[in-house]
Amino acid sequence: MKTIIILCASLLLIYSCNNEVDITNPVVDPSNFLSETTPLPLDSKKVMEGVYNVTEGNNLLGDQVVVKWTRDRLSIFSGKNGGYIILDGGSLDSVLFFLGYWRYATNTETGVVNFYISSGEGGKKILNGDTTATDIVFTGVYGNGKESANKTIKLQYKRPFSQAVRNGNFYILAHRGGGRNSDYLGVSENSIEMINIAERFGSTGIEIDARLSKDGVPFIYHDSDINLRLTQKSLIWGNIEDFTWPQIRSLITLRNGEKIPKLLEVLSFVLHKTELRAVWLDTKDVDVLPAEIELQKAIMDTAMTMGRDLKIAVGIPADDILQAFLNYPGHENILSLCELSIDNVRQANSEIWAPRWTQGTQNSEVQQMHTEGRMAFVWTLDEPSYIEEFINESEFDGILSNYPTIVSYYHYIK
Amino acid sequence: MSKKSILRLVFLQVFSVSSFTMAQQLNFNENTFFFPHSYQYHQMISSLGLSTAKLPEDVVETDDIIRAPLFSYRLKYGLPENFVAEGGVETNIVTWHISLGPKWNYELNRMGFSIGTDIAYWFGKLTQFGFDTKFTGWMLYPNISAGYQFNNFTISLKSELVFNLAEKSINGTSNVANDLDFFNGWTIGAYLEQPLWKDHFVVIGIRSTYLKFYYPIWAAFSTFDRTYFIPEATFTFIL
Repeated sequence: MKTIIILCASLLLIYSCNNEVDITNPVVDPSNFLSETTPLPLDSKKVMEGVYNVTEGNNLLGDQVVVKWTRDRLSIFSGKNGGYIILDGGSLDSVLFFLGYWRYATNTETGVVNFYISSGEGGKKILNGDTTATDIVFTGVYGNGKESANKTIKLQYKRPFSQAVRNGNFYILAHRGGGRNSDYLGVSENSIEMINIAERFGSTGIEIDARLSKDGVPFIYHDSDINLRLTQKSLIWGNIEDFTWPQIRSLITLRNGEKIPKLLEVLSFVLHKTELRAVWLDTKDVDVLPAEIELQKAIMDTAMTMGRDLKIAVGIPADDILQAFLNYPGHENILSLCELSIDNVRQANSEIWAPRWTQGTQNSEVQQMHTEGRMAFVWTLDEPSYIEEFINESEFDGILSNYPTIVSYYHYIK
Repeated sequence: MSKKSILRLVFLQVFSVSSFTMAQQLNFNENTFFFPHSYQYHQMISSLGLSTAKLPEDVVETDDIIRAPLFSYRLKYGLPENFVAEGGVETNIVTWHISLGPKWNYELNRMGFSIGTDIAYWFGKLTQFGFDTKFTGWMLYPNISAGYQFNNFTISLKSELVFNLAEKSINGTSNVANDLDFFNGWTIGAYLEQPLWKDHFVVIGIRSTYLKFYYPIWAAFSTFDRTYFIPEATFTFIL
């Protein structure tokens, strides 16, 4: 008995060890320099976008990067370790300044990075909105970890995005609102704070997880239980859907300090505060379906009156949810996304078919969907080599990923 | 977990399990598997084991404690000049790992040492749950062992480096050579071998692995470029 007790205690002790990840986000613009600059006009932003060669400092991001403005930041995407840069910027006289941070998506390496574009190296043309500007040079410095920026990096304009990219309608969808907790982005998955930064990663759409509280309020949260992967220690535990909305809101705090948002709050935020074009509602429980559909209709009606291009698709990930969806009156006219078979897609009249990526590119099935006027998204694709393969060899209309930065890189260099 | 804590665990296990041992003269060279004793030419010893691991929460996204049971069968075969050939098969049904490699063992009084390397081919196949996936790879495990014979049991430590030599996956019609880091990490394990009854030995082991890619959970297609501590517990019968 003594042996068994000591053995069990030993195993419990060794199994209780966690893989803690320590990441310190760099301090960007500590002197608030950018407040002295003028924000760039939209026309200027478009001039800067394109594919750039890295002519100095290619240790950080490789030889080639994509420069793309998102809603509120200038983002730079690369093919090395899913590396990306998020920058805030403005102009002073005819010089453009950018301050921000770099990060590798697949690990936790990060640091500060600063750039400027001098007047003679494209600054003046950018400010004039000159679309013929091809001599743009970003000159900058970057640092690793907590160190100050001291290594040179230089980007030279190479070419604009291809016609196929500019005229296409490809969706870059961010998993769980932008990324998982295990990606250590500083904000929690399935939070409004995460959705607020999703576009900086190149996302044009998001996937979120819908559940229903005991008193009938739809909210977003991935797991069925309250756990330390998603939340801080709280006074309640067990199945989260066994609690009322006031309990969930007041007693649970997400991993990085945020509150669990209502689905209504999330969809309103997406509509009014972002330029996202798609929301994939992953229906986590059959009970949430009717409330989800009502909210979807209300928000999409508002979007239509605003002239806003926004698709909100009700997810059908499992047979029981398909059955409930088919029983819903007028389901044929509800914008839905079905993860099941092509026959199920037709049965539900889903506008989007979404198979798991591990079934391959499935080009003939995707073509069938296109022939029927439907779209096809694939999930949840994180492996960089497969992202490249799917971007170049498949006919999917969108990719759901935890690394929208990597999808963005391979999409925009296409 | 600190190295001090791991050593403490090993000591606790030795101390506790040894109370079951019999006060008789045991032939460790014919009945122990992990203890790196010398082998007679053509001598064979085999073992059947079961191991479980606590998987990284980042990868499996669950706080379940014990996952990924692996069954294993291993065989050691004595060669001339203190050389030993070791082969093994590990499986969780979805994944198979087949290894083979030479070792050179040296015994000094109650102590035993071993140095060697194993090469392994592993493959996995999953055609359910939305998968149409095959994954194959080659791995290299240079390793060293040291052990000590007490009166009624042996205790052995084994450490190995883990290298990814090549890997490839097929999903549907998509066929991609994956790009895992060449150096995958390292492991260290402690193994207590003692008789269960008469000269039938069992092994209780704890292994700490520090790896970026843990092959039994290949289907998670983890892309995290960081090393994870994955503890394993093993229970093995010497056949």
